[in-house]
Amino acid sequence: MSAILSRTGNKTKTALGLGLAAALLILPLVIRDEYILRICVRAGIYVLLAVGLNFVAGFTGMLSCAQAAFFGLGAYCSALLSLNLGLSFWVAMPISGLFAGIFGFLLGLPAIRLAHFYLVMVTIAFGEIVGLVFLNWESLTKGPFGLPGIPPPQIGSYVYVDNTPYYYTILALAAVGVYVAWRVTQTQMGKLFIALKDDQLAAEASGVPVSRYKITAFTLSAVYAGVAGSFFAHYMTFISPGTFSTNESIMILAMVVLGGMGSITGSVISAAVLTIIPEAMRFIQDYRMMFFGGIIVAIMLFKPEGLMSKGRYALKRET
Amino acid sequence: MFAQQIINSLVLGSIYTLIALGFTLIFGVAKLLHMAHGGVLLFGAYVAMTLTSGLGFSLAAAAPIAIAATIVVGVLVERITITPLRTYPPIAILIATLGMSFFLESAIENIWGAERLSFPSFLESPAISLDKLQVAWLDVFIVGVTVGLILALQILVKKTQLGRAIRATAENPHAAELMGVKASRMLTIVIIIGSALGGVGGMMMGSYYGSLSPPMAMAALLKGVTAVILGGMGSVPGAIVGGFFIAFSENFGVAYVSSAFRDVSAFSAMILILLIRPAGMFGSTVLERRG
Amino acid sequence: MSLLEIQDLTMTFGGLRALDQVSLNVEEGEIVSLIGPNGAGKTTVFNIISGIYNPAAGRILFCDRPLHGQPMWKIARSGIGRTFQNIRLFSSLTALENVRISLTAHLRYSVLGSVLLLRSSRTAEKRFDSRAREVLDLMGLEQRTETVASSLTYGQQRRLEMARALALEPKLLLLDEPSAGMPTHETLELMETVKGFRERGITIFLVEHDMKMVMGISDRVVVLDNGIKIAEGTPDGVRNNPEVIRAYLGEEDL
Repeated sequence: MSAILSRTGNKTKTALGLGLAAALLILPLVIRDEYILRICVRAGIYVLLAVGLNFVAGFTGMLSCAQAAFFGLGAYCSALLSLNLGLSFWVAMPISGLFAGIFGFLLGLPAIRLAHFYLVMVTIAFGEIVGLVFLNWESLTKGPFGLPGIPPPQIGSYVYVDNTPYYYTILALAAVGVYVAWRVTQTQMGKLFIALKDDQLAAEASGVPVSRYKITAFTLSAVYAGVAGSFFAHYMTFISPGTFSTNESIMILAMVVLGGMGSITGSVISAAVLTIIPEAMRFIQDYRMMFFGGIIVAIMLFKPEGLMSKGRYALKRET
Repeated sequence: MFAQQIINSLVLGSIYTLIALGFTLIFGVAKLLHMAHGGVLLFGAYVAMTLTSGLGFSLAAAAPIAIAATIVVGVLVERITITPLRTYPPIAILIATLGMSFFLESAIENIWGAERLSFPSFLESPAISLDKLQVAWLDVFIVGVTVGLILALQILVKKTQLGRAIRATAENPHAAELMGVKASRMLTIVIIIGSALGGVGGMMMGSYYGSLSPPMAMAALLKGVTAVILGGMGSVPGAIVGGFFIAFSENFGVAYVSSAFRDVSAFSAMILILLIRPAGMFGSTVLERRG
Repeated sequence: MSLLEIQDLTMTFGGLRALDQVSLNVEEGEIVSLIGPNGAGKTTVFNIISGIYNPAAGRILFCDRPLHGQPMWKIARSGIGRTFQNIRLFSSLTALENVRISLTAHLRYSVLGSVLLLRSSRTAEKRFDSRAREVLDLMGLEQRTETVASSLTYGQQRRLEMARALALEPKLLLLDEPSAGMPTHETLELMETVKGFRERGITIFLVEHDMKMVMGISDRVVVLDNGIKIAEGTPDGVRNNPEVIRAYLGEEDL
C-alpha cells in the first residue's frame, strides 16, 4: 500500500519537476520583462551558492560563513583572467571554480578539526581576510574602486547583451549544480556525509576517514561558489569588494537553514524565494537584511529542521 | 612615535577588553558563543548618541540610560534566541544568535541610517603634552574606567556570593543546580553584566572613533571573539590579555608594516591559535577535538 | 603471538588515574570478558584500543603492530570493530545504510561515475546493498532493511550496531555491554549470537555486567577495579577469587 502511494507520489513529483523545467525553459519567451529576468538570474546565482554551501552546512553540519569569500575569489579570478589575459568567460569559469576550490581545500584542512564555535569564527575570519585582500591589494584589484569593464560572455560572434542569454546560462549552470549534488547524495559518499553528521565518532569507529570527507565537502562547496562568482563577474561586468562580505555569507547560510539543512530541494526553493521576495515586495527591500536575520531566528525557534525537513536528501527516497 | 603607539594600544585594548569580557562571561557560564553581542552593544551606543545629539543630554547623563537600554536589548535577545533553544544542540543557538546579530545590525541601519554618524566625546578637554607625547584626557578616562570595571568585576566574581554562584555554574552546571544555583538565572545575570560592560565598551568605541556606523556591530563581534579565543574561552584574564594583544598587534602592525595589516593580523593570529590548539586555548572534550 | 596485547596501559583524566599499568592479552579465537564494578575503567580500555583516547603510558599491539597514534578509522579498518555502551547508530539512515557505512573500506565506488550515470557506479551501489543485506540477514534484521535506525526497537538497534561492526570484517570485535537493558530471553539469544561470531573466526573482547552472560560464554575473564587489574582466569577461578569478591562487595551482581 505504502509502496503504491509513494509511487504515485513519485509520479506527481516527476510531473511537477517536468512542468517546472518546462516553465523555466520558456519563461524568457513569455515574460519579456528585463527587470523580472534580472531577478531570475540573481535567483539562479543564489541557487548555485546555496546548493554549494549545502555540502558543508547541510550534509556534514559544519556552519561555514565563508561562502561569499569563495564567491568573491571566483569573481575576482575570472575578472582578472579576462581583463589581464583576455581569457573568455568559458575558459575563465572552470578555472575560477578550481581556484576557489583550492582555497576551499586549504580552509578545510584546519577548519574541519574545529568545534562549531571555532569553525564559525575561522570561516568568518577567513572571509574578512579575503575581503581585506580585495580591498588592499590595489595593484591587482584596484581596491575599493573595483574592477569595471569585465567582458560579457560570448559564443562565437554572439555577445551576451540582454538578460535572456544570461538567464539560460545560469539556468544550465544551476541545473548541472543541482544534478551533481543530487547524484552525490545517491552514492556511498552521500550516505557517508549523513553518517558523519549523525555521529562522527561512530563513523570513525566504522572505518570512515571523516576528515577526508569533510574536506571534500568544503572543496565542493567552494567550487560551486567559484563558478557562481565567475558568472556574476561577467554578468555584472563590474565587481567590488563590498559584494563579498560576511553579511552576504550569512545570507547564503540563511537560505540553507531555511531550506532545511541537507535538503537540496529546500536549498533551491529557499534561495529562489529569498531572492525574489525582497525584490518583488518593494516595502521589504529596505528591510531586506532585517528580513533575513528575522527569518533565521524564526526558523530556529519554530522549525529548527527547516522547511523541507522530510528526509535528509529530499529529492530522493524512492522506496 | 613608539610611546604614542603604546598609548593608542592601551586605549584601543581597553575597548576591546570591555567587549570581550561579555563574551567570555557568557561562554564561561553557558558554553555558548553569543554571536549577537556586537549588535546588542552597538544598539546601546546608538541610544546614547540619540540621547545626546537628538535630545540634548550630556553624555554623562545619557550613559546610564544607554547602559540600561543595552541590558534590556541583551536580555531580550537572550530570551528570544538562547533560552528557548537550550535543549537543542549548540549549533541551533549559534545559528539563532548569528541571525539575531544580522537582524540587529540591519535594524540599526533602518532606524539610524547606513551612514557614519558623529558621536560625542566623553571629555572635550585638551590633551596633556608630555614632551612630544600627546595624551588626550579621553584616553586616560577610557583606560581608567576600564581598569575600574575590571577590578569591580574581579571583586564581584571572586568575593561575592553571586560570583561564587557564577563560578560554580561555569565549572559544573549540574553540580551547581544541585546546590540550588539555577543555571538559567546565572545565564541571565551574566547576560546583564556582559551587556552592561559591552554598553560601556560601545560608548567608548563611539567616543574614541568620534562616530558610529552599523558595520561596527560585526567589527565589535569579531574583535571581541578574537580576543576571547586568543586568551582562552571563558577566562576573564584571558579576555583582557587577548583584548590588549589584538590592540597592540594592530597598532604596531599599522605603524610599522602597513595599514592593511590592521585587521589581517588579528584574524590570522586567531586562525593560527586555533591551528595549534584546535579546540581553542580553553581546551575541550575529546569528541570535539578529533577529526 | 596474541591477537591483542595490552602492555602497562595507564590513563589519566585531569590528574585522576583511570587505568594503572593494565596488561592483558586476547588470543585469536577467544572470548574474553572484561568485568569490574562501575567506574573500574572498562570502557576506557575499549576507548583506548579504538583510538578515541591516547593513553598516558603503555602500548597496545594488534597482530604484533602497535596501534598507538593511529587515527580511529585506520584502527577500525585494520580489523577492530566495536559497539558502544549507549548505542551509537546513524539515526537518520536506514538499517541497510547504517551497515553500508562500514563497507566503505571494502568496496570501491566513484562519485564521478555516478554523476556521469556510468553503469559501473550502479553496479557498485548494488554491490554495497547486497553485501549489507547479507550482514543484516546474519543478524536477523532482513525484515528491517529499509527502516530508519531511530525507529527500530531497542533490541534491533543493538543488533544493528553489531551488524555495522561486523560489516568491517573485523578480526577482533569489542562489545561494550551488549546485554544492557535486555530482558533475559534476549540475553540468551545474544549469547548464541556472540558464540556464532566466534565460529566465524572473530575474536571477542567483551565488557559486560550481566554475570550469567560472562560466566556462560567467556573463555577467560579479566577483572578491573579502580583502574587496576586484580584478577584474571577462567570464569570459575575468577568467581571464587577473594579479591574479586571484595571488589564487588556492595554490588548485588555475582
